[in-house]
Order: sequence, then structure tokens, then C-alpha cells
Amino acid sequence: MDRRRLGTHASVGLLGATLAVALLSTPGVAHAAGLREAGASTVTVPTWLFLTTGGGAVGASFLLASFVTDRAFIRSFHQWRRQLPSPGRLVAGIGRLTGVSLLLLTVYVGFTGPSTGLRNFAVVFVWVGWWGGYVASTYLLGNTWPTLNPFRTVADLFPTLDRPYPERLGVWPSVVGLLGLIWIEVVTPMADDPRLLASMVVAYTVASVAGAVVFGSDVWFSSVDPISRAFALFGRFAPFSRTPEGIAVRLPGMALTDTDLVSGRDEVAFVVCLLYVTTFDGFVATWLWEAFAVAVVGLGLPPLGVYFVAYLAGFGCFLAAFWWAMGLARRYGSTYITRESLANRFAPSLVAIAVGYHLAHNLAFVAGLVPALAVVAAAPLSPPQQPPVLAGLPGWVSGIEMALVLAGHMVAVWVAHAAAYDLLPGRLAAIKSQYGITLVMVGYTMISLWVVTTPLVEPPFISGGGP
Amino acid sequence: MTADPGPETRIPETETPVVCPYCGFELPDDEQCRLHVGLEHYGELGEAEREAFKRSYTEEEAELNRFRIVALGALVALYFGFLVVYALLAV
Repeated sequence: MDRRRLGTHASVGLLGATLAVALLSTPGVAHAAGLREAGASTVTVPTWLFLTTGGGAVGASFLLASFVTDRAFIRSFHQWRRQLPSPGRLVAGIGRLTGVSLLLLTVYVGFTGPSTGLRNFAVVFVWVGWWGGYVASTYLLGNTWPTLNPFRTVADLFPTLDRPYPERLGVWPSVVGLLGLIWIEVVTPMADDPRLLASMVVAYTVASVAGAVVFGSDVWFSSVDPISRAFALFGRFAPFSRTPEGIAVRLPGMALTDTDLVSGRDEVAFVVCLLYVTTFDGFVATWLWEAFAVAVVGLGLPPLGVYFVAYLAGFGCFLAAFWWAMGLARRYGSTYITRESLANRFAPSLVAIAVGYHLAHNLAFVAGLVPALAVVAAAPLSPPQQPPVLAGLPGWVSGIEMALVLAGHMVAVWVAHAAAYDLLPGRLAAIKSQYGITLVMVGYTMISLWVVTTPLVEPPFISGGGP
Repeated sequence: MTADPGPETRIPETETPVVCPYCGFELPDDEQCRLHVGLEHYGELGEAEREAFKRSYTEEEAELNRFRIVALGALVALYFGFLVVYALLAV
């Protein structure tokens, strides 16, 4: 088969050229690492060039993917799967017990333990163990949250009223919930203050239990609870997933082209939101935001109001950019498929970007604080005065972070490519339909590389920090 | 209509769609329709339709090859463009 051979050639070319582009961008990566560690000292590559290189690498991966036009070859990646035996009920029971025990310990130590963030088990466990480490396991291994989820285990102890969930709300409440959670995380000192963190965990438990009692656990944790929904999406990136027959194994990221993953504007908005909130979290700690916020607040506007309006406006921009890209897909893809249906299939590619970004964001953080977590977890009630911290990670760790951001985008480009081939009958039309989303991804790469490499400043006006 | 009606479509008021005779899916032109029919309903097709599909598929190949040349050009420009800029700026 001629086409089969072409596909193989194209894939070899894809690999080679990706490496070439990756090597090409290495100088920028190395300098960015220096930039972050040494503050703004000597930079041999201008920032714009470094950012353009990142954007260029994503653009190049689209061009490379466009050489692969063999449908069967594209589908083969996404259809490859194996089956493993399912874990028994005993394992599930132990998982639930572990989840609830950790929840109780977090809340107890959060209220009664030392008030220094790094010495308190609640703070170190939630941010390093759970948000950094466990979340990474949901996309690197598989989504174990439905079993571990302590909020659900607690909620299931109560009888449910099984009120009908208003269908017209869809999963919009989870979009609002995710925006709300990250808003609280950004504007309050929740990352350092164990009492506040423990209160938030209790509040979250109460809200989850109340919601699950009214509407039933299944509806609540699949439509409203933002954490469960986020992990479910991350879990679709992971190689392992739970099916009725056992545990299915697939290539990482390749399940993102499944047709049932996202349906409707609300679910598309949730995916975009997942991507957006990580960016906003980093963006408020850049000089650009500091300069802007100080100037605007100087005009007499309330600081929190400025944060809030900027937060929502940024989300609006992300949604608008994605929607615009879907308009281009409709125009260049020679199709009558609605923007909404196109968005359902293209949105999951963004999950790969969010995964790369989360990993890049948390790698050094978790590696540096794992010793502290181990020591504090060994004696949560009487932690040592100075928990050990791994200081001075080698410079190449930042290089890996940059590579992860880029890798996430490259998987995203491929997923969009495969989705286009699944949707559109014309091969050239399928390539052209990706123009918009590729542009959006290039722009997004440049923004996130900039946020990750810009020297961190204390966000102004919040958590006691000032200009 | 088959069990899976395919993705939802919306047709601009000024245009008339070409409708797939097998599943009712609406497409903007004959070319796309022939490709759709060949990909989705190959088993149900008659000899003439199969020939038409193969012809469309081959014609598309020519267009694809033109696109590939442009894409290759863009890749080369991207690669050497960066190479030159790095050589000039990153001493």
C-alpha cells in the first residue's frame, strides 16, 4: 500500500523534524532557565525570540501533522487499546477509607496544628501532595478520584432526596465553581494559612454533601462539582481508564478524540476554563499585571474589583478566541457542521495543553517540597521546626518545564488533527479546518511560556502583598 | 437514516446543501459529498459511485501534494528563519 508507506514516512519525518525544532529551541530554553533563577540579569536571547521560537515549534508541529493524511494511520493511534483485570472491591474500599482519613487529618491538623504554612500538614499535603502530586497522577496514570473522592464517600453516607437536577443548567455550575475556587485561591492567602485552608475544606465538604443529598451523588459529582469534572477530563488524557470490563490501556492523550468526551457549550466552556484558570494564576504574578493593576487602582478603583473584572474579561477572551477558531474551522473546512459540534470535538485537544502546563508549573514545586511533605506527614502533630526543602534544583529542571509546555501543545495539535480527520470527509479540508485552532494554540503557547519564564513578583493588593 | 446521524449542521440561508442519499448528512459541494459517501457508506455503493469516489480521492491527492509543498516550504522558512535570527542575535 502506497498510502500506508507514505504515512510511515510522514511519521518518521514528523519525529525527526520535531526533534530538530526542539533542538533549535534549546538555547532559548536554557536562557529562560537562567532568567528565572538569576532574576533579570544577562539574557543572551531576547525574550521575544524565545517566545517566537515556542510559538514556531507549535506552528511547525501543525505543518508536520499536515503531512500525515492517511486516515487509517491516524485512527490507529487512537484505537490502540488493551485490557487489564479490574481491581477488587477491597481495593476500592481501602481507597475510600484512605481518602476520608486524609480529609479528616487535613481538617484536624489544619485547625490545631502549627500556624506556619510549611510546618502544617494540611498546607503541605493539600498543595504539594494533592494539588501537585495527586493531580499529576490523574493524567499520568488514571483518574482514581471517583474512588478516592472523600467528599463523595461522606455524601454517600446520607440519604438522598433525588430532586430532579434542572437540565437547562447543564454543567455551567461547574464552570462557575471552578472560576470561584481559583478566584478564592488567588485572592486569599489560602496557600499559606492552614486555618483558612481547613475552613475552606470544611465548607467544600458541606457544600458537596448538601448538593449530593439534594440532587443525588451521581448528578452532583458529574455535573456540578468542579474538582471531579476537572479530574475526569484529566483522566481522559491518562493511559489507564476504568471500564465495565476492567482497566483499559491506551496511548496517552489518544482518548481525547472520543466523540462522547465533550458535548454542548457548557462543557466546552469548562474545558476552556480549565485551561484559563492556570494561566490567570500565573499571570497575576507578572510585572505586566503589577504595572497594570497599580495604574488602574491608582485611578481610584477598588483593587478586588479590578482583579475580578480582569479575571472574567480574560476568560471571555479565551472563550472568544476559541469560538473564533471554530468559525474559521467551519469556513476553511468546507463543512456545514455547526460551530458547536466542531467545538465539541476540538475542545478536548485543549486538555493536553492544560496537562502540559500543570506538569510544568508543579514539577519543580513538588520536587522541592517532597522532603518537607514526607517529614511533616511522618509527624503531623509535632512537625520539626524547619522541615527540609530541596533547594537549588539544577538548571535543567526549568528546561524540562519548557519542554513539557511544548510537548502538551504538540499532543494538542495532533489531537486536533485527528479530530478533524474524524469529522471531515476531505483530507485537505480537514487540514485547513485547523488553521484557527493552530493560531490560537500558537498564541497560547507564547502567553504561557512568557508567564512561566517571567520573573515572579508578589501579586499586588492581595494576600497582604502590596506594590 | 443510520443510527448515528453525524454531527449537527447549519446551512447559511443563501446556500443549498448537497444531501448524502444514505444518511442525510448535509455537505456544501459534490466533491465533499462524494468523499463522504465513499468513506462512510463504501459497502452500500454501486460500481459507478465507487469509481466517482476513487476519482475524487485521487483528485484530492493532487491538491494535497500542492499543500504539502507549501507546508514544506513554510517549515524550511521557519527552521532557517530561526537559525538565521539565532545566529545574528544569540552570540
